[in-house]
Amino acid sequence: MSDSVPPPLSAAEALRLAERAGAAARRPSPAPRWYGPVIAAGFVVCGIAAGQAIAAHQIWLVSLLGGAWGPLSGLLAWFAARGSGGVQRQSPPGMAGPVVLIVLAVSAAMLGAMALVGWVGGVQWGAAAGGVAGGAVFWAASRALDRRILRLREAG
Amino acid sequence: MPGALDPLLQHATRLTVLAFLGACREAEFGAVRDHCEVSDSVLSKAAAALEEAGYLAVRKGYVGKRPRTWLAATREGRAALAAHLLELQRLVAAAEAAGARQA
Repeated sequence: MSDSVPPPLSAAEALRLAERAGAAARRPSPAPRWYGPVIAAGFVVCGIAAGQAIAAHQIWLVSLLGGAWGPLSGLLAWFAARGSGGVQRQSPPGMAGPVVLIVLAVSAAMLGAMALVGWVGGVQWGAAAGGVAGGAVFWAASRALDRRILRLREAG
Repeated sequence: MPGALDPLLQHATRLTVLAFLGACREAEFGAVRDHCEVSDSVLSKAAAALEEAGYLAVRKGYVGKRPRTWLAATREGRAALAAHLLELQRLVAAAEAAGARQA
């Protein structure tokens, strides 16, 4: 393409050109490699810190951690979206279901680990185990989602 | 009454750039350049023309210490693109109908 000599386009050619460009912008892109491990580490740190706060009878710290982790994870997601190939895409169709499943799986893993370890070793270790389990499940699920996105890309 | 083609979007590069940006929230200058397969200067000219028409917003920032330019289609740009594509589809359909009548 050149700006000096604009190529004459028929309506059909112009439509094809616009469709190709739109499809390229919509093509889903996997999250950057750092995203899964960093979010997983965040879960682990929050879980361990919450456990220590409970052990020290500083319950207010738990809500502070939760309040800080929410916006921070949102910010990291925003950076990840910006960093994926330099294009901040709109949510591709068919991704809402897997994302909801990830949220449910992480919640279930955290609650399960907290209940199990908390019952055996006390609330302090229960919260830490919840963080570790939540982080591990998030990492695994985000890798699975990335593989699904790569398959979608290959399928065109 | 059918809408007219937007003269600004009858240029291949400008149409490609706006179609690309219209399908995403925002894109980095280099990503648009690579996807549209144009040089920096060609994309700069196209982006300037689209920005002047209010079809495109340019935002400058940094990623680390590196300067970056982000481009995004404005609401007016998306509306203009949609109207332009609709008119192109109408023209293609009319041409196909005329061809079918002749055959």
